[in-house]
Amino acid sequence: MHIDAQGSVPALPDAVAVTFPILTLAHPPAESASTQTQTSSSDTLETSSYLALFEISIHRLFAMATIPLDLLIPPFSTSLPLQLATSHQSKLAKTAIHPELPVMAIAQAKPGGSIFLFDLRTNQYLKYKLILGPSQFVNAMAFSKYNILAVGTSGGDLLLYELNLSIQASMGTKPVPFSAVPQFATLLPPQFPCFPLIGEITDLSFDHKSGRYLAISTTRSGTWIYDLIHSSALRLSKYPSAAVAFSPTLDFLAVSQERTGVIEFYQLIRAGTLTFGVPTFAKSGEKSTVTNMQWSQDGKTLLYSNHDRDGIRILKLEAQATRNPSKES
Amino acid sequence: MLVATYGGSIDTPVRMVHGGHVPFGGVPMRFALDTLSQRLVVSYAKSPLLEAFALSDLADPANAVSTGVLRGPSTGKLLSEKLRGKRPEGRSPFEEDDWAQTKCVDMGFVGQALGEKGSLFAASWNGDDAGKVTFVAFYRDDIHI
Repeated sequence: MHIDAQGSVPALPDAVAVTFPILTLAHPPAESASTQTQTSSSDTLETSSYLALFEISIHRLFAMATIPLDLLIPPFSTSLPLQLATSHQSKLAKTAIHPELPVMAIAQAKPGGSIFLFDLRTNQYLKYKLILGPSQFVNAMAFSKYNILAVGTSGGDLLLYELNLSIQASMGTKPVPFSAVPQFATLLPPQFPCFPLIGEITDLSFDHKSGRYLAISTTRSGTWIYDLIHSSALRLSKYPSAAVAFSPTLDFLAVSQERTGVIEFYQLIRAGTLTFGVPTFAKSGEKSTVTNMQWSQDGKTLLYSNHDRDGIRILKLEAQATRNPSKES
Repeated sequence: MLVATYGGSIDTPVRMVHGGHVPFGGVPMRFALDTLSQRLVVSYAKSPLLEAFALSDLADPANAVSTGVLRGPSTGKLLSEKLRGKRPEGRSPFEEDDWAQTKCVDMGFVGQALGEKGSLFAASWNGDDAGKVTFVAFYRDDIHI
């Protein structure tokens, strides 16, 4: 299987699927049970559901202190109906490119689609595909240098796949067992509904230096930083955001706010854990959202484009030492 | 303390019709900068054509030069049997300009695909029938600014 003269990759293969038992739902009760049994079981279910609701309310009450209170104030995010893509079976949505290896991930443009991995070392797809849930539509993907693929969905879910990207994974004849079980990264305590409070995930970016921190922009809850080692999330900014980008070589993070045309710049301080300085707010020159951002390799020049505006614009960033007035006097 | 300074812009062409019927230019949808910061590829709204720019220095974006356009892949639509019968020798069995229906949905430069020799540009496209991924190589030796 090779790239043809036109530069096209062969059609997506029917790769071996890895199923995830943890995601399967419990079987519904059998319909053949007697009426009496059904009545008694429905009573039990009703009682247990009241108990479950009570338990959830108590858990939410205790977990309330751990989430930003402004997220609990309406209006909440409401989902648009996902389009059933009967005629778009093999259309593409997003791609993610590995920062160091010649490997790319390609997501299908349909809810519950798959993500394929193409290896340019062998010109072959890897022997497994990543299967999403039936309501999950890929909005954003990002690769870390440690072979972790982060996937952000329109339902506010954040999935992390730890991948085997060895050449054997694409050349071998046997499927790679259990190499792509997703881990759900939680930005909020699980007692709270994710999508109404978080909103859609719009963009993802890995910290290039450490490969440990992931920046997440969302339509409702602002920008988050997820620590992959401690599995903990920090809310960095409350403004709904459209794009995030870590500088590849310097300690900067750019976040574009939705609908304002403002870009927030953060300086990263690495002292054991990652901390962020006070943000600098820069106007992009237009009031429409900055939809695309990319740092140059020097790490201090940011190229960006605004929604519905011509041209690619450039911002240069530098860190200046703050003067201490007491020492000067 | 961080200080952000506006460094100018790379002008994209005004919306026009390329080759008589293919829309081109106008509002950029996506762009990708290679690791040498010498090549910039831009996609435009509702256009099957990408534009490549050569950059000598990001400090002087006004000197960015358009080096040409990259077209989308063929959608693979075959000519009807009737037309195929009349097809002159050497002519493609695919419909003329069927690539004009493709739209670029994402793009980027692939890490280390060409090693030190250059940068490999990847783009994913959606046509009428299917999605496709294409690759274009930018070799360092070919870059003369």
